[in-house]
Formats: sequence, structure tokens, C-alpha cells
Amino acid sequence: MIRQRISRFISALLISILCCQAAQAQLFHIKKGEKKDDTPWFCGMAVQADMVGLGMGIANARFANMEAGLKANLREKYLPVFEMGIGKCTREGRENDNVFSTHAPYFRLGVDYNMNSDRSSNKYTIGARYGVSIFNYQFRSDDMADAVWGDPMPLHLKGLHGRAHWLEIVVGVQTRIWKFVHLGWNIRYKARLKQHTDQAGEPWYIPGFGKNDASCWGGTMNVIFDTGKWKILDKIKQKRQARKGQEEEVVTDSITTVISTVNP
Amino acid sequence: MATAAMALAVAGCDSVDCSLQNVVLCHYAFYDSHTGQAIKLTDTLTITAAGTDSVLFNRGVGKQEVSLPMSYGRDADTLTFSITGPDYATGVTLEVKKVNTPHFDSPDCPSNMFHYLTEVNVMGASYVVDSVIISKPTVNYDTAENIQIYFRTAD
Repeated sequence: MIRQRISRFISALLISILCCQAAQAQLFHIKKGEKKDDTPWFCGMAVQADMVGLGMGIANARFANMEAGLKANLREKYLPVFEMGIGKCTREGRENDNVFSTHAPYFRLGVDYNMNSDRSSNKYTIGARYGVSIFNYQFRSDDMADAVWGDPMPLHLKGLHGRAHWLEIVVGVQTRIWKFVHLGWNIRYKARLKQHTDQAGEPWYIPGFGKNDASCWGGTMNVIFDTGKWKILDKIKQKRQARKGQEEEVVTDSITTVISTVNP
Repeated sequence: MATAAMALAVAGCDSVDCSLQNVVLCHYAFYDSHTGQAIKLTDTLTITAAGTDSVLFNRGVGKQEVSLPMSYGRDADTLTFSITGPDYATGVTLEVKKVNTPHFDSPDCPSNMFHYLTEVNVMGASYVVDSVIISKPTVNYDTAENIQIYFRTAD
């Protein structure tokens, strides 16, 4: 009787150890499966438009960078991006009749890196951009006059040539709001690398950069249309969820077997 | 709402940073034609500009240098240096030729004219001034001397 109890106990123990090992192996397999990324290398393209610049343009702000961009999606991880836009500025002096104005295109090239390991969720990105703008600017000073000689000297400087290039560090977040429509916010620290300006004076504003200084801050709020493989990514996501469900079932079955063996 | 807030954040902060030194003057320094050393004029000096009734410098005594404004748009300024002693008065007229270049810093700051001196001439015969040379042709916010005037002095 005692021998029977002991043998039952030992067999139950062996079975439970085997089951635990199986469950452990299953869990290891899940981890291993997750490490093996089944996301395709090219996950499509997206077009984006900045609402902040558009808003500033409509609100007739002192300056506005109205831009759109094209972003590639590589394995939901690397996001090379090309941005181009029109920068416009009309800035009047606060205590005089001076007016600075410009209206010119600009271009940026860069890449974002998705820091979120869960590829099917929101994107938390950090990235960099290289920006360049070649532009003409104007400066007008109607009230300029020679006080000593008494000559009126209204200043109308047109076609002043400038060019500038700069670097940007971009931190942002992107979330999907409906099927292929995403929203993305980012803030940018911009550092001017070099500028060439007319000897008459530096531009008050550089298209795409902002107020002309050694560095400045900016930001965009993008509406992003995923033109690529969002359906494929959805299928991958569903497949992952289904697999996860199956794996959970296997673990539950193993635990049930162990319990039923210990308490027959 | 978020867009408006971001637009305000981007466009809201702005500061006026005009240069404190924003007066453009041409600096004239006086030298002894014999020794080449800087001198102080012991007589009374008054400077006027042709074409205007403005007195650019009035009754200065013991001056080693003077700083004078230049015309914004004219190609040449004609200045009359009147020197008055205890019992005599004399004068010399200088013609300063230049190229004018507009300059601005920011829409908030007053715009200005920079100049590039091309030639300085003593008009007519002068018993007072021996020669005039341009030492620094660029006239801007700098305070370095631009023109050296060499006066004849008694041996």
C-alpha cells in the first residue's frame, strides 16, 4: 500500500516535472519566436502634412513653415523621411516701419528610429534631419532718412540672396487613429551649421529653420496617410495575436494536466 | 487646439536684440606732419558740412580726434574745418569720397548706412594741413580711426 502510494507520488512528480519542462520549453519558444522578427523589411510608404505650419500660415503668423513629407517604413523600425515645404515670413518692426519678408522652399532629409519594441503599437521615435534652404529675401525701411544732410533715404532692398543649412534632432510620437490614418507629433532642436547672406544684413528668418539664430526650437503635428502595407501589417498583427492565444492555451492545458495528475 | 498651442509655442517667444553700438561715424585723427606723432589741437576747432547748415563739431579745444557722421546717399562729403586761434582764423576744406552700403540687423532695429572710403582730398592750397590719408576705409559701427590728418606745425 505504502509502495503503491510512493510509486504514484514518484510518477506524479515525474509527470509534473516533464510537464513543467514542456511548458517551460513552450515559454522559451514564445520568447524565441518573438525575438525572430517576422515584420517584412519594407512596410510601405507614408505621406504626411504638417498642421502646425498650415495653421500658422492661415493665421497669418509672423512666419510659417508649410510642409509635407514622404516617409518610408523599413521593418516598422527605421523610417527614412524626406520633407519639403514653403517657408514664408513677413515681419514688421515693432517701433518702426521696417519690413523683412521672404518666401522660399526648403528641404530636409533624415531618418527616424522607432524605439517601441512592440511594432504593432504606437511609434516613439527619435531621429535626425539635415535641412537646406536657398532663398531670396527683402528688406524695406520707408522711414529711413539722413538726419544731418536732410536727404530722404527710403530703403528698398530686393533680391538679397541667402542660403543656409542646419541639423535637427527630432523626438516624436506617432499613433494610428483609423486604418491608414495616423497622427504624429514631434519637437525639434535645430542647430544652424552655416549660412551665407547678403552683406547688407542677415535674414530675420530662414525658411524651414525658423527665426535666424545659432539654434532654435520647432515642432510639427503631422497627419500621416500610410499608403503602403498597412493591411499586411494588420494581418501580421492578427497572426501574432492568434499565435499568442494558442500558446496561452498550450500552457493552460499543461497546467491542467499537472493538477489532474497530482489530484486524480 | 493642439495645433494652435504648438503654433503659439513656436511663434510666441521673440526678443529684440539690437546692437547697442549702432551709430555709424567716421573717425578723424590729428597728426604732426614733421614727427608723425599724434597731436592735440590747441586752437578752437569747428567743423561744418557743405550743403547743410548743420555744425558737425562745435568749438572743440584740445582735441586729438573727432568722430563725424557721413551723408547717407551722397557720393562725396565736403567738410570745412575752421581753426581759430587767439589772433587768427583759418580753415581747410576736405572732400571725402565714398561708396554707401545699406545695412540692417533686424526689422526691430534702425537700419543704417555703412560706407567705404575711396578718396580724401584737401580742397585748394592749405597752409594748415600737409596731407590726409585713409587708414581704414570701412566706416561702420567700429570705433577705429578712418582718416589721418597731418597738420603743419611750427619747427
